[in-house]
Amino acid sequence: MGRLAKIQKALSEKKISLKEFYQDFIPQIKNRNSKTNAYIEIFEDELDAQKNRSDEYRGNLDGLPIGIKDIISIRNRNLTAASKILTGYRAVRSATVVERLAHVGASFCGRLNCDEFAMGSSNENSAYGPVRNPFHLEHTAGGSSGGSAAAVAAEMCLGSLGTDTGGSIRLPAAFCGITGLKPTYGRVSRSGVIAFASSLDQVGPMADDSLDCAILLQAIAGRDSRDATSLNIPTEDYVAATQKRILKGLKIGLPKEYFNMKGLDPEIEKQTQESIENLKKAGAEIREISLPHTPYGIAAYYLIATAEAASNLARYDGIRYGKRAEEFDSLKDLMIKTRSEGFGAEVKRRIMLGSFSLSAGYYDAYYAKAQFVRSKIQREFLEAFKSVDLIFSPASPSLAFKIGERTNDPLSMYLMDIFTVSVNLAGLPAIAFPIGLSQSGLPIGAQFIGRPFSESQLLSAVASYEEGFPSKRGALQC
Amino acid sequence: MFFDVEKIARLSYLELNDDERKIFETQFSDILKYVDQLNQIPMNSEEAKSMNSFHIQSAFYDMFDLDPNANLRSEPADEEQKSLILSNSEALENAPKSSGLPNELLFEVPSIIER
Repeated sequence: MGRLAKIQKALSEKKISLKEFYQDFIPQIKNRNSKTNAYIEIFEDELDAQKNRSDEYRGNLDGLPIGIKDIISIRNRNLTAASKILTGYRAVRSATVVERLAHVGASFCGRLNCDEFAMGSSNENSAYGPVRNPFHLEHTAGGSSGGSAAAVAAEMCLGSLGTDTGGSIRLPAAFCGITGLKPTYGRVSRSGVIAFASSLDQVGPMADDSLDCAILLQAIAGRDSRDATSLNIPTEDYVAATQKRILKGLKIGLPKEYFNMKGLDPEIEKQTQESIENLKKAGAEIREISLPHTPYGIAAYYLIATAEAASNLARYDGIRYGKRAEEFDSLKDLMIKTRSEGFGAEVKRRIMLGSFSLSAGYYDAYYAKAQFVRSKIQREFLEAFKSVDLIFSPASPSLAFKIGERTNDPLSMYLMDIFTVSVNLAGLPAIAFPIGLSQSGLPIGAQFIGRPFSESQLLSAVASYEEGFPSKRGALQC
Repeated sequence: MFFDVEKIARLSYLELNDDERKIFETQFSDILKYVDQLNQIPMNSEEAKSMNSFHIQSAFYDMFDLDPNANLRSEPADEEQKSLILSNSEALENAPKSSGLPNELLFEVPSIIER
């Protein structure tokens, strides 16, 4: 049982009070943030208000500290997307996911650090500095939802929200040894979430385990009339799903393209093979499958995501909101200076790559071709799910690497998403969860990929795995 | 494939300094070399054209028997949508520069017509 469910239980049984919880929690979040940089801002007023509350716990998420990636709007709080260009911006609305969490009582304890506009795989592209891995402070926490993952791992919240466009929930979850769910595209509302690549972005829960993720997903999932891509498909009882044991007889596919990949860390490979043996022991039927277009996933992703980013980020022009350059000699110059001063290097690179793939003469060869590959990747997945129930793979090709090790080589950083991007391209749900530790004590994660809207099955599978083969947890360095 | 960094920066409303330009040139050449592997996949002009209307959720509509037009917005907006319309002060709250009377604020921009 994760801390979220544990604290809920202890509060319900009156073994502790919210006041007692916050007395320990407040010094812990502050102290550990000075070492991990997981939060861009801790809401001290909110923490004090919860500590000084006179009324009792009213169930569900009442009063419980949930961290929010700083790309999701919380009304009347600053919102920066970890970018200088949004310095001083205050959200005028709350995102639907925030409203839904608030509706069941959640307390928002702060804005979590991330890569600028969620563009990155290591959380080193933040204007507020990198997030440090709580188990190895000189290593990255993964990205782009690095703060959301580190804050859960270092017990600086009871759960968090991240966003996943190409792996931004699952990669940091793997690096930090926590559980992170990327829902089906259309399961969770994107209203009030700063757009990076609108056809790929999805908000999801990050927490200690499957049950804690289920509690958060239960609150945020479902149709929202403010987001036309949120589909009218009934939600399920995700919490109940974590009580089901489904591995026996479950057909699990291993895509051969994922396992023949060059550059997979040997420790991750070994641990993944061990997990496959565990799945067999639990009665799962393992089958090799083929997803032939997988090797083209990263190339297609970095053309589509950047094309969408180039148009989404056109709105940052220094006119309506955000920071405006101080010196300029015309309207156009104002926009150019504002953007050139406000955006960091990776955001500039992606906007330019997107402008390129959409520009005259290159559109068919790049953007249309990438969409074509995307349609094939989706078809291959849906075809594979006719013969298997779930797909299993590593969540990342490498362990949490050292801060600064890859910042000069964007392509090597893009390749970190090799196991995760295809899922976004196909719009599918997937869950990353811890399966072990490296020699050096760094977490190793794996992922299950499911059919569209099979979140409850993914949660059941991870819950079954957790019970049968609990993963060791490393020692915190913060 | 030639990537004209200057031209693409201009299209993107970005201005690069010399250092950025130099670094980006090398990085873009690496990235494009990588994405050029998509050339290995054959695609005819029909298929290319069909991609203009590709939508990732189309497959879900069939699987879950959904009406693809259900999300088209009908006018006038319903109450919930109306409640989302920003007031003048909310819309201008984050403007880097604005002027005017309360509730009639305007965004301030440099002049674009010569006097």
